[in-house]
Order: sequence, then C-alpha cells, then structure tokens
Amino acid sequence: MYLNIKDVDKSYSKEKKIIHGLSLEAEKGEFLVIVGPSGCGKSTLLRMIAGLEEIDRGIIEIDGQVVNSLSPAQRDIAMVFQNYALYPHMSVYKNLSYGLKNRGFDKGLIEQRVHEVAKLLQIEEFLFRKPSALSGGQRQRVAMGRAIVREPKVFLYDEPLSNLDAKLRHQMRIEIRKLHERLGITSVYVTHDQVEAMTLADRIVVMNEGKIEQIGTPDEIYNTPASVFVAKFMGTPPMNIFQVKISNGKMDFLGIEVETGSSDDTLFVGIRPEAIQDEESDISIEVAVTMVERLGSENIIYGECMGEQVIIKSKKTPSKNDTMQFYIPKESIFIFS
Amino acid sequence: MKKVQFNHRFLPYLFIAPQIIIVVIFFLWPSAMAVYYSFQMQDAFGVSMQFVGIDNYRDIFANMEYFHTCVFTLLFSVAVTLFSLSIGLFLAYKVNTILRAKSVYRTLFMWPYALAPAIVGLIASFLFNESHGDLYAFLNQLGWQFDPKSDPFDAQAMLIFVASWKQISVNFIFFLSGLQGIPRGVIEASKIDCQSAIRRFWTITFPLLSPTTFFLLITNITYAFFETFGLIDTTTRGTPMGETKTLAYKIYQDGFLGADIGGSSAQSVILMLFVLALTVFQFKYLEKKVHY
Amino acid sequence: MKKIRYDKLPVHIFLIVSALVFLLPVWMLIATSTHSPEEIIQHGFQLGIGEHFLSTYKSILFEKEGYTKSVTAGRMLINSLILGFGFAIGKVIISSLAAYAIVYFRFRLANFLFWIIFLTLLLPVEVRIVPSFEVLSTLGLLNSYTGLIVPLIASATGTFFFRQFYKSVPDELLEAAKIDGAGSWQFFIDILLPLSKTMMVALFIVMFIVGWNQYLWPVMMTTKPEYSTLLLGIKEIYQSNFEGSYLPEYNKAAAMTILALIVPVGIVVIFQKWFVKGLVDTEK
Repeated sequence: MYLNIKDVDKSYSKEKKIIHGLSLEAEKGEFLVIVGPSGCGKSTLLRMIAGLEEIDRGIIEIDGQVVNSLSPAQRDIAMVFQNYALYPHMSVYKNLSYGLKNRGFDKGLIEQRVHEVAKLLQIEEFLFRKPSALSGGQRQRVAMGRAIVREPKVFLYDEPLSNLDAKLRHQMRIEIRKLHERLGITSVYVTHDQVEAMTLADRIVVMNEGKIEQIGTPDEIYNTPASVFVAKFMGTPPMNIFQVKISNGKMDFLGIEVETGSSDDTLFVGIRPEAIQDEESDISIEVAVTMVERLGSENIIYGECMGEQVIIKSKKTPSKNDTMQFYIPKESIFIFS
Repeated sequence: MKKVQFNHRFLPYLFIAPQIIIVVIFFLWPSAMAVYYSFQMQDAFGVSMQFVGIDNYRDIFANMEYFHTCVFTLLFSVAVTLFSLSIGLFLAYKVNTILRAKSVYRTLFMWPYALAPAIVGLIASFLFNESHGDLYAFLNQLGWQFDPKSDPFDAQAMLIFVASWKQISVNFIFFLSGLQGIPRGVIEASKIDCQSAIRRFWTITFPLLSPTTFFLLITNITYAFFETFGLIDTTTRGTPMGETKTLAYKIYQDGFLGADIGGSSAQSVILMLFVLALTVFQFKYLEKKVHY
Repeated sequence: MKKIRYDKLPVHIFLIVSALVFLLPVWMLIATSTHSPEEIIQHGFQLGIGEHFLSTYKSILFEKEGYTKSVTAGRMLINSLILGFGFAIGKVIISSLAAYAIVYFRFRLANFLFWIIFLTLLLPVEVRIVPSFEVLSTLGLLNSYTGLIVPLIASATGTFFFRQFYKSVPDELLEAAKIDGAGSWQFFIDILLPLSKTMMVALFIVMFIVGWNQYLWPVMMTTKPEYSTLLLGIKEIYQSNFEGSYLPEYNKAAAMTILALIVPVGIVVIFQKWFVKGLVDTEK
C-alpha cells in the first residue's frame, strides 16, 4: 500500500489515549476522508502522518519507506491547514515558492512551477499581493497552491473548508475533487462535515474516540453502517434509532416480528428519515406532528410515534398537531446489536 | 507553550545565553551580595567586615526613623496611586465619549509619559522655588503658609502632587486603550438596558476594565516605591527632617552617602521580600481570573 | 459639513483646561529659556517668548558647563543618545533571542532559566544600587558605555514582551514552515523576524525612552564628566543655581531641561501609534 499506518498509539498523558492501536491503508492516488466528531483524534492522526506529532507505538509508511523518524520536511508531504497558515508577510508568490526554495530548487524551475499552479488555481493576478489583501476563497486557493506546487507524495487536508461560507464551501469542494482527479495525488482529508466526506471521498474512514468505527466507500457507509455511531453520524437529518426489547430471540417492533440471531436483551433499530414514506408499504405508523421545517424542495417533519421521537423527510406539508400516516419498507430497517 | 517545538541540543542555550549571562553578572551577583552584606557589619574605618547575624535587621526595626520612612512610603504610594489612577481614568473616559479630535486629546494627555521623574522634579523645583516659583507664590497668596523647605507636610503634599501629575499619563494611556477594547456591542446593549450614564459606567464599563485597573494598581505602586527616586532626588532629597524619604531613597542614602553597607543591604532584602509578596499576590489574582 | 454638537462643548472645555495643566509648566520653561538671566531674576519665570533663544541654546550646546566646566550639553546629548539607542537595541536583540528559545524550543533547563529571568522583576535597580556599584567597579566597568548600558538590559520586561507575542503567533505557521523545510534559524529569520517587525519597533521606542530617562544608574556609574548624560548635567546646573552663590542662570537650566525632554516627548508624539502598542502589549 502507498500509505500504510500500522497499529499506531498516541497519548498526551497517561490517563488519556488519543489514538488506540489504529491501522489504516491507502492506495496510490486514493482520496481518503477521515470523518468524526470533534475530539475523536482525526486531526491528531493527520498530524502524525505529517510528522508534526510523534507516535508512541506503531509504524507509518509512505511509498514503501518507514517515516517514523523523519521530520515533516523529509516526508515529502504537503498540508493544507484549517486557518490556511499563510505567511502573512510574504506575497502569494513567495508563499508558494518558500518550500521549493528551502529544498534548493533552481530559480527558473520554481518560477515555472509557481506560474503553472497559479494558472491552475486561477490566482495568477494575485501573485504579488499579500495574503491580507485576499478574500477567504482566494486565501484558500493559495493554501492549496502551496501544497500543489511541491508535487508531494501525499496531500494532507486539515478541515480546509471550515472557515468558508456555505456557498464558497460548496464551490471549493467541487474544485478540490476536480483537482484530485486531474493530479491523482494520494490525499488524506480530515473533516467533521459528513457532506464533504460523502462528496469527496473514494473511501471514508469514520473515527470515534481514537478508534476507527468503519472504513468504506461513501455508498457502503451510507447503506450498510457498521454501528449505531456510524448510522447516526452519517446522514442529515440523522437516522432515527429505537431501542427494542428482545424476547425468545425475536423482537417485536412496530407490529412486525423480525428474526434475530442474537440473544441480547435489547437491540437498536435504525430507520433513515428519508426511508419513511407516504406510499403504502410493509409497516404503517401514525405520527403526531410537533414541528415542521420547510426546506423548499422538501420538509423535515418532527413528530412522536408510540412515545418515541421521529424525524421524517417528506414532500408533505402537515401543520403542527396533525396526525399523519406514514409507511416504512422492511428492507430499509437497520438492526444493530 | 507551542504544540510543536524545535528539538535541538545546544541552539536554545545559545539563544538564551546572552540574557542569562547579563542576569547572572549584573543581577544575581549583586543581589546575592546584598543578602550577604545584610548579615555583616563594617568596622569604623571601612576596612574589614564582620558577621553580625541579624543585628542589622534588629537595628532597622528598632529605629523610629525607619518606621517613619515606612509610614511615609505607604501614605505616599496610596495617595499617588489613588490620585493618578482616578484622574487618569476620568480623563480617558471623557476623551472616549467624544468623537471629535479624539487623537488630539490622546496626544495632549499622553506626552508627559516621556518625562523622566528627575525632569519632572526639576520642573517642580522651578514652580515651587521660594524666590521665583509661580506655584509657591500662588499657594501663599491663597493664605497657605506654603514652605516645603521647613514644613514636612507641605513637602509631602508637594511630592504627592508632582508624582501624581507625572503618573496620570500612564494611567490615561492604559485606560483609554482598555476602554477602546470594550466591544461596541456590549456598550450598545448597556445603552438599551440602562438609562443613566453614571450607572452604566459603574456597572458595565468599570468591571470590564478590571484587568487594566489591577495591572495599573501594581504599576502605580511600583512607580511610587521605586521610580520616584529621581523625583525625590531632584526636589526635597528627603528633607525636611527626613520626612520625605521613601524606602528606596533611604537605602541609597544610608548605603551611599551614609556608608552603612550592612544596614542598607538589610533594607534592600526587606524591600525584596515586599516585591516578592506583591508578585505572588499578582499571580494569585491573575490565576483566579478576576477578569470578568 | 458635520453638525457641531454644542452639548459636548463643556467636555471639550474641561479637557482643554486639563491639558493646559500639563502643558503650561513646560511652556513656561521654553519661554523662560529665551530670556536673559537678569530679566528672569527681576521679573520671575516667563510665559512670553524673549529674544535670547539662539544665544542661550548656542551657549549650552557648545560651551562647557557644570561644576567642572569640562563638558558641553552637546556632549551630554550624545551620551544620552548612546544610552537610549544602546539600551533599546541591546534589549530588542537579547530579549527576542531569549524569548525565541523559551517559546519555540523544547530543552531541559527551559523552565529554570525562565524563572531566573523572571526574578529580575523582583529587585529594581534602585534597591540593589550599592552592590551593583561594587560589581561594576570589580569588573572595571565604571565610567564606560558598557557599564552604563549592559547591566540595565538584565530586566525581564522585553523577554516577556516577545514571549507574549510569539505565543500569539499561530502554531500552524511553524507547522507549515516545518513542512516547507525550514529549520530553526530559517524560521526565525524568514518568518518570525519579519512578523515581529512592528513589535520590535514598538519595544524599541518604549525602551529608548526608558534608557534616555535613566537617572540613578548613570549618577552612580559615571564619575567622569565626559560620560555624563543630559539628566546628570542638568542636575549639576540646578545645584549650582539653587544652592550656589553665583548669579543663577535660570535660562540655561530651563534650556537644558527642554533639551532633555524634547527628544523623548517628540518620539512619543511622532510614533504615538507604535509607542502605545509597545507600552500596552508589554503588560499583557
């Protein structure tokens, strides 16, 4: 594998481990997105790959070379920071060329590369401005440019879009994916935004409390979540989760019986808000509406069903306190032990 | 500190070495000497030293003159701090309320910062000069038999006035910058919630300035204790009757002019302990984050 | 046209009167320095400009004055400049380096050395003047510019100032520089130094004034008139004026005072923005 992380541990103090025995692999040219709630260790993992954090145990390999003891500069990686970390006193040109200069590149080559990248990112006209004279989106491009110009083995992104407004974030998301398809450089992208994860990733890594919950393609993560955590974390609004009692190896949920192999006392049942529909199907439920959020193309309905809170995505527009009939197809019910 | 730092065997020592060398030679060495001398007594000819234990300290505390100096230093510090702090705050508040010519007023009130206390003392010696001084004449015309050369109270009042005059600018600068640092939204919200400007000041603005005020409190006390040395040395020089000496000035007089090295060193050590206590207090306070 | 708001008029009047309380004494000195000594003795200190401006200043700058009559105010002015510049430059260089080590390096004695530097805040020079004098005389540094300047640099204020500023520099900048292959020297020279330019100027200005205004230290450490700074020179002139038996030359005393305060005051007024920054940021 091109990027290989084997059984890595990290802790800042004796009591609290940030990363526990984590292993992860990425193929050459793959776009890996690490997603998880804040404090799950995803940024630490990225910084460990970069060499900005030391690891307590384990191995990190890039392109067949163990990089554990190499400095960030020797690892041949590039990083795009959350706050961009542009050198505020240097022009865009100098920001882009600083890393190349330190590596002893020939002046002509530096100039050629900087101009190529500037053209690619459409920041040519700003080359001699200081970062303070640029808009948020332009700074973002410069930060990307500083990484691209180095032509590194691995790109590392640390929540690069979180400082942009919604519209620009959407636009940059598309550009990052386009750039990736064009340059084909192995990338690891950390975010807490599941939409970014779904749209950018070849494979998604869902992390929680220093461990990997699931690795898979966006479709796999969405359609076959491995745990309640993944199910709740991926998808907006989040999946409805119900705790269900088991008797005699069977559970009785919403009037239908489902065979379960498990002998646990309780199970969790998950239903996506978008799986609850108006058309007649296997299971019918009655929902007392408590609130409706109108999104334009559709509505999000909050309600109560048999004493539980449910969220439903629907085209219907009920009013508060209405009681409505909805249906759930059997195959869209998830069962987690 | 920083999440990421450099690891280097000797570079950091190289960077910090110049400062450490200066501190050791010109600070630690003389300070240690002060502690050492405070337990020694010089013979009448100034030739040999003799260990005398805590005799120097006992002499100091047995001496009424030292007690007088302590009382004056405290009185002087409290008065100077009170006057310069409140006037500085009042001026800063007034300047901050107006829109026009704000920067002109800022300049007009901050420039005295650049005056050395010794220079301020010399200017005062002009104004309070008994043959030509305008303020001297003015005070006497008012019916106050003002005579700082022979009346300790007059001399003390003059010192407090002059020392405060010089210190107002520092308080003004910090308070104005503190006032300008208060978010506009907070001020606007308070205007909606509270009609009276005076009440607004005491319930919103003043509490928000508390870190600045606390810092200035310490600064002003240090100023009154130590920096006023030049001011005293160019005006009263402790006269009349030694009633205008601060602790720092007495250390200088006893040690340099009086050649009582042991006694003067013991006084230094006592003052050192006082500053230490002040520093500890400052840190405790900051730790508690009495900010807001 | 902006509308003039008359309700603010009382505030303006109050502020202008207050400002005069600070300005008048200095104006009186300026005015007095332009009169002849005889006029002053007869009519007291002056508020109007007289006719002896040039002659007074020419004589103090180029004629030898004081008890010893061996040094001009011009020489003293140069000494004051040396003290101010030397102190400020030394302070900026030494404290920015020390703070760099403390903030950006992991090394064993970091905490211990930081506390050693911190200790200097405990004992102002006024309090340890006698043993300091002995140390300087042991080292043979009395009556030298080194002895005048270097010991004053010991205090921690500048180091704290830079430490505070370095801590406010985003961590990511160091991380980006590390990834870009910059070592510790390169990071200092290429990134940190240019970033702290404003802070350096600010600290320089504050420290220049502190250095220029030193009083007790030069009084103790220099006994030869050729090392005398303006503040010392003035002190002598005043002593001979107010205590001596000659005809008091108040005009010269006033002119010397003006000379000693015009430089720091000018700097504070001209570089106001930087100066306030330097002052206010030191104390955070």
